[in-house]
Amino acid sequence: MSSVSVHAEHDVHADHGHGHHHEPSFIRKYIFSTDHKTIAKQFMVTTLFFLMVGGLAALLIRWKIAYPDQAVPIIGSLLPDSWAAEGVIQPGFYTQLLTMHGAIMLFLVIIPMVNGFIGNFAIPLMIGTDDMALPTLNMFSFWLNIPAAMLLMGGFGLESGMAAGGWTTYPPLSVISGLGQTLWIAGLFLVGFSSIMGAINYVTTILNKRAKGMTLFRMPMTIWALFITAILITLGTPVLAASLAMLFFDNFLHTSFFIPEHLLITSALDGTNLWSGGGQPLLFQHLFWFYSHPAVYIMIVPSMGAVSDIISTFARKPIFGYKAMVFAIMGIGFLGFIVWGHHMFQSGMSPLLGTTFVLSTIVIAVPSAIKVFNWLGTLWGGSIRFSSAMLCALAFVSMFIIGGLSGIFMASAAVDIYIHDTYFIVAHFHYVLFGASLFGVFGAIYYWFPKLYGKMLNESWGRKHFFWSFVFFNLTFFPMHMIGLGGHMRRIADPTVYDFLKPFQPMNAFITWAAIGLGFSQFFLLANIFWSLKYGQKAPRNPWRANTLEWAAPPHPGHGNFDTDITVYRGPYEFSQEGRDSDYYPQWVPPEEETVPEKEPAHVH
Amino acid sequence: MFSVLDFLRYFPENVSTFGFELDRLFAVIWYITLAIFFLTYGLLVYVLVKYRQKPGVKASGSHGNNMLEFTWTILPTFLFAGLGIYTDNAWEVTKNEQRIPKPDIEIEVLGKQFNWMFRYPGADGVLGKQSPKFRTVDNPFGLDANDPNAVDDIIMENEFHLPINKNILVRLSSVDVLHSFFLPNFRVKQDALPGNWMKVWFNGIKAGKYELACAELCGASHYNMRGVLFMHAQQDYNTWYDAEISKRTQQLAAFAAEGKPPIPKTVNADIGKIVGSHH
Amino acid sequence: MSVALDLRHEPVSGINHGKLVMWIFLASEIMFFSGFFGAFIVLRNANIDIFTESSATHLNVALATLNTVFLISSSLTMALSIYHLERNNKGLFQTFLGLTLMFAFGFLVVKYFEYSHKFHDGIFPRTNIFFAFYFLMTGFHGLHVLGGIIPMAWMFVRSFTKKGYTNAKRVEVLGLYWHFVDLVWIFLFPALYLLFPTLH
Ligand code: HEA
Ligand code: HEA
Ligand code: CUA
Ligand SMILES: [Cu+2]
Repeated sequence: MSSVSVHAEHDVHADHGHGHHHEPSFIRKYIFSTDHKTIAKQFMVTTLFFLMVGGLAALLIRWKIAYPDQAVPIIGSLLPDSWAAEGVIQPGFYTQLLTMHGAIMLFLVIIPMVNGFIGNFAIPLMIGTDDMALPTLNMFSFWLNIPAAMLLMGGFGLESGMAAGGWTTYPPLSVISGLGQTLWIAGLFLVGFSSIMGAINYVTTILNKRAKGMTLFRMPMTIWALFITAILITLGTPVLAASLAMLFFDNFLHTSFFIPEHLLITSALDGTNLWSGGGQPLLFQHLFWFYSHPAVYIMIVPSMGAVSDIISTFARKPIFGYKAMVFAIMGIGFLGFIVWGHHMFQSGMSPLLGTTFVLSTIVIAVPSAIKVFNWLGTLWGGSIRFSSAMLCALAFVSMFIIGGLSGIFMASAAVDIYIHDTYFIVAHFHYVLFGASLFGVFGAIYYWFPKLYGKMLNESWGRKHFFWSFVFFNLTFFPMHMIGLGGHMRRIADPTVYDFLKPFQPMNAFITWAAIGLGFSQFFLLANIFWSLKYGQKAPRNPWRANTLEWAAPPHPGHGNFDTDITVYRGPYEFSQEGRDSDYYPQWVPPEEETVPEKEPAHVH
Repeated sequence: MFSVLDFLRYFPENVSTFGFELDRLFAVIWYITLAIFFLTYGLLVYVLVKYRQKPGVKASGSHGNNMLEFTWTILPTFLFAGLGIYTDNAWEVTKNEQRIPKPDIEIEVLGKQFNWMFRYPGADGVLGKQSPKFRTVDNPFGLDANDPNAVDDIIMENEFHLPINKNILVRLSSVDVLHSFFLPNFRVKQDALPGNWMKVWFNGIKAGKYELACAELCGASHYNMRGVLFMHAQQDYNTWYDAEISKRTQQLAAFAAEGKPPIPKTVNADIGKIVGSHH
Repeated sequence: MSVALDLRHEPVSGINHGKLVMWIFLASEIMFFSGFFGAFIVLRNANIDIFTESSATHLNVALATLNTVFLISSSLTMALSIYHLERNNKGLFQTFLGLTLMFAFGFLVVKYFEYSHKFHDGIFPRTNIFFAFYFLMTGFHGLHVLGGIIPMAWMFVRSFTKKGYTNAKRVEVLGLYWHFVDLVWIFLFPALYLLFPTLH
């Protein structure tokens, strides 16, 4: 009798609450729970919800660009005239939409997804402990997101409208804007505060609560990724907070940190011009990007970690160059702090500074290259199962290559002159953010759902979701490279104003319809989740026959996570080792014990 | 069919001297990345097909290979670093103020929600004194009314004219928020920074009508902040310029007759910056 | 049998959770104030005249010096209170914690007078770029002082209940934070009050 299948028999009882644990009340269990798994679920649900909101905004954006003077079908009639006169979106509302889209997708979707969701779920389970170091702080950092989100969208319904400065909120524009902007700044400040508190908790937990035998270099890639990311957050986000504080002062108290003398401006808040001047707009950009470039790695590195684990598991092969992968993440993390200027090549920053930022930026592509090649190396010689989790992970790799390579163009300041602030950039970051990071999260959902809810997701729907998302994603965003090279600027409500952009309208329309397809493809995911929660087949303890500790816990673990004593005996990637008849060797299985491999669940391959 | 993937054909026609160099650099990177793309995707497809799960075939247990690791760290490093150094010269030529060739024509451009303002020297052929202190909504350049050289300067809105085959120096700034001076056909893009004068230069080689776009979000009408640039052969340019000068001279004469000031006076927009003022 | 086992064990790093969290938080705080100081340096160089003039003529060095004394002494008393709690001399712990509270309050009171005096003179954050920094930095520092006072007061009050207050670890962590708040002021004081080439 193998230890693994012994556990499997206990699943039934192991499933919910535990003997001496008196059941917490509903509120404590589901609303203000301090259990990291519940918090992870809360993050997953809210971020998926905001993905819909941000996505809907995106579709409105797309409609306006493709059909600048046509009413938006269905939704258009619901909007007030100040936003959409007879359903035709107004330029002012368009800029609010794109600001909200960007801010929601970055700060309420992707960052809380890769850190809040993956981090909260994976860290305690994968390092073999019962919960975060400070569970209450953890709960607090989730709930802070709710008021923060309300403030971010605070302008909603206000006469003066929502924030409209773009997600980058460059002054002076953001400084002279109205109340919506003021609230937005406050909201972002809170979001930052929340993610700092989360990150501090992650670092402490990983440093202090690892199970017996879990040395740093036995940690799965997911944990390494989350660890480095958490450090980036603790060091980077405060700088954003500082710049937002100054921006808030400028906007609300009419100080002049970022406002030079004698400008012809008036505050949309009170119609005055009380700025005494003496400030510098570029200063904000430096502070902002000092955070926001590391931030783009904060948005993708944890996803990279999850993808590494998924690929290794479904290729039944050890991750290729584990240490190199770890150092690559460290490299990305460190270099991320010295490349911010590549967002400012055309901003009026000294061209000589520009040159140095070109070099640092181009160097940062190297650790990414290392990761890509190591993923390929992992697949090489594997025995690959195309589960929906694996398919999403492969989507990550392939889309990251495209998105990364387009980054190389902009990294060269000379080439960036022409493509800066065009749709070429928009294409670039959707490839890395959606194509890579978000697909990685999809993969993580398919991979960990069984442990998260104790139910298997429906594989064939999962594959459909992957397939249609993948196809429509590329149909949506690849053509953006082309119109970008045609000179199509970002953040313009109506391209037809320019003669040289008129030829691209058909392509814009094409993109829009592809985007709508992309939007609706997401229903496969939603439906799958809801359906499986109710009717999905019960998950075994270790459905993917993986090595990492979370699979030692019972499916849908209760408070306290584990029902067996956890000791780690080996690295996380001991797949297909010589002289073992089973093709995996879990971290928690004592060397003397031999594990008869469970027969592979029918639904994977 | 693959012509779709020929990214170079989407560029609008280039009509500036350094534009060719910039486009060439794009092409270089395009072909390098295209090669990398096919290399990596080739590998990816190959392994996915070759190593898909097959009954009875067990995966290898290899943990990696330091030699490979080393190669694919070093190769990209050199390749990328090479790229950076290789493209630097073009960057310096276009943007480094020390490298700007001696200008034949110097004009000023202002971004102003949501218009482009242009200033040419007047009859006296010099750009007169200006100071932000004098800046008002009707006098965005802040021309000094007491400076005769300033009084006769020519101000244009959303339309400007330049001769071909001449080194043009644009002194660029903004009176309110950030804007970006984007001439797609000239491969010129530079943010307009309030409180700074940026130097932008180019040299056009083909007469015609070209569009000037604003490439930095500057408010609700950002999309509509469009200007037009007419490039002329020298003599056509001169005729246009002379016409503008005489127009301005007549205008000034008319003002003098009506007793109007040559440069409109309005209260300066900014107030309350003296230490100790309440409100 | 399936009971949740107690997986809690000695912190791997040897530093207890609370302390580690605080150290990391302080690293974060340092970056936060570095943002302000970075901006301060850049804009001070760009507006050196305004900075020197405003600082020299409108700031009250005497009051600020008093505040400096307050904070430094409070750091000391804080340390002493921890020392005595660890050796559970209840009385001395309470005295020194009380003193720390007093100094902290004293600091805020002085700040209050400084601020209201400025407002009376019609000086506001928007008055000029120097005062923008003055109010921004002292304001956020003041908030940090307040953030220290609240848990401190709570512990102080608790220590008088019959259960008393015994969690030396907590007080120690608070102490760490308090020394940081003190340190920030040690940078703010010269930067805002003293750092000007004396006007002949
Ligand atoms: C997840 C987010 C993410 C990631 C990972 C990246 C990754 C990179 N980004 Fe991107 N970027 C953004 C998100 C991201 N970016 C966003 C949101 C913006 C816009 C912000 C705004 O203005 O709104 C932006 C904008 C942006 C700019 C500014 C453009 C402009 O405004 O003009 C630049 C310029 O250098 C840049 C560069 C890069 C580079 C060099 C990388 C590199 O890290 C990429 C490295 C990866 C590869 C290179 C591919 C894989 C490697 C191989 C396949 C090896 C093959 C190589 C050899 C064999 C030699 N990015
Ligand atoms: C993770 C980040 C992320 C994601 C996922 C997306 C997703 C999408 N983005 Fe995103 N985008 C940004 C980040 C992101 N974007 C950022 C940072 C900017 C810059 C903002 C700025 O300039 O300040 C930007 C800007 C931006 C622009 C440029 C606007 C401009 O400059 O004028 C455009 C235009 O096409 C665009 C389009 C889209 C589309 C069509 C999607 C699609 O993928 C959306 C499809 C997904 C959905 C629709 C949601 C899922 C739908 C459901 C679950 C069902 C409910 C929906 C329906 C009923 C249809 N985005
Ligand atoms: Cu001016 Cu955009
Ligand atoms: Cu960047």
